[in-house]
Amino acid sequence: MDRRQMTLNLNDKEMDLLDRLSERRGMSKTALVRQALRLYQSVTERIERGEKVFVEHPGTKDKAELMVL
Amino acid sequence: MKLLFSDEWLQRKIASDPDIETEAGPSLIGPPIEEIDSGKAAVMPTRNVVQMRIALGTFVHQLRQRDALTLPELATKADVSENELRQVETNPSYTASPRLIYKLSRYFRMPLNNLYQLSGRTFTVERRLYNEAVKYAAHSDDVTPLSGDQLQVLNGFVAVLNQLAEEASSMEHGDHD
Amino acid sequence: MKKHLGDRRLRNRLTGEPEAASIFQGLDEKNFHDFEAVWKPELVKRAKEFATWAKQAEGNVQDAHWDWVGKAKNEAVYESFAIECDSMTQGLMLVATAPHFARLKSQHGLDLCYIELIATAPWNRPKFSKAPKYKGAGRALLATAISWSVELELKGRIGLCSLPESESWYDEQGMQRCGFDGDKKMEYFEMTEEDAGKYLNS
Repeated sequence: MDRRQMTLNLNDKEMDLLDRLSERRGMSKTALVRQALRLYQSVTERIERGEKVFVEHPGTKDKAELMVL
Repeated sequence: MKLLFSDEWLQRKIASDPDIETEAGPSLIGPPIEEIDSGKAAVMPTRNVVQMRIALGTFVHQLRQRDALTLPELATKADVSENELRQVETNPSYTASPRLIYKLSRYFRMPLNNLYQLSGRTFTVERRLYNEAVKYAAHSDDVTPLSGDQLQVLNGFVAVLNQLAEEASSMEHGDHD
Repeated sequence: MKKHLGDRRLRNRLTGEPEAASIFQGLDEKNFHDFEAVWKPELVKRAKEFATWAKQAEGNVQDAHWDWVGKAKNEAVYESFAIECDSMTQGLMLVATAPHFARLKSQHGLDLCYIELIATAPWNRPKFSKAPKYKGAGRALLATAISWSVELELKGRIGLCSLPESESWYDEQGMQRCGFDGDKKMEYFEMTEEDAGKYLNS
């Protein structure tokens, strides 16, 4: 697959977050951003199809809508 | 992307692996299109699936009563899980596993294909089977012990299931060259 | 867009000889056509036959049809893979594009590659054919999924739901059972980074 480069401008807080998340998930910052992109794509697809995205608490079964278009 | 396995590795695996199914994810089999087209089979909405399962649950329960078996006894004899069996008998939202249906069909000597349709695992169902199942469930009471009348209704349903299976089978053989 | 990943060999059980096969990422019209025009009629025919073979029907007989083709054509939902041999699609695999997270305790919450589907052509399946033709398509695809997981830096972690008659095969490959998935109504398996390493080095 062809690779293209991009420069990402992040503030300190965002950069810290990226560092922490990629360490926590055991992947490079690039890999993490790719996963985040995929997650965003999947959610966007669903919402555009008219579906809703929820998080559910396993114990109480309380639901909260995650993203509203 | 790099494939992280060599051809040598694959040949070794092929040589040593057993010859069994390797499928993952949902089954790709569709209903026989010609049966939908001819009106013999129909696509089942959820509420109809529930009705079929009520018939199935009642049926299993009554067969068990007929044979004077407790639920644990039937589970042992048919080699199925007690919990699953209880679900089938009492919970119309429960989807029985293929293994359970297969074991029950063998134990009670009932046609497998028909039990499958009753379990709601199929996308389509034969109209006649559906109609008979709904009729059977309406006339049955799975709570009281089997009366003479109930036994007649049960035997009637057993006969219908066998007849439908025979008809399907003779059509198959007729189609063979 | 279809991309050639590499060539490996499947075994032709009928001749006993290995035959050249190619593994691709991305499906094209040929793969969809192979499925619709060649796989599907075979599957439907076999399903009908099974309905009357009481002793053989230990598993799926007429399971619900899953319209994966439409979703697969929209590349945003699935990463797709195919293995072709003898100018025919012998195996298909769909991997979810959306991140999935491990349920197994030892890797709970970590990203993994979720395999939505591994399907081999009906004539290759012991369940459907008295003389199944090619052996190795499922194995090659599973190893391809692990490779894809590594490519995404997910260290070879994968997850899938197995058809009932394949559960023992996934046990044999070293995958770990994580319990019955209530939504999919199938046993859910995962492979850890360690399992994947052992698998590819065995």
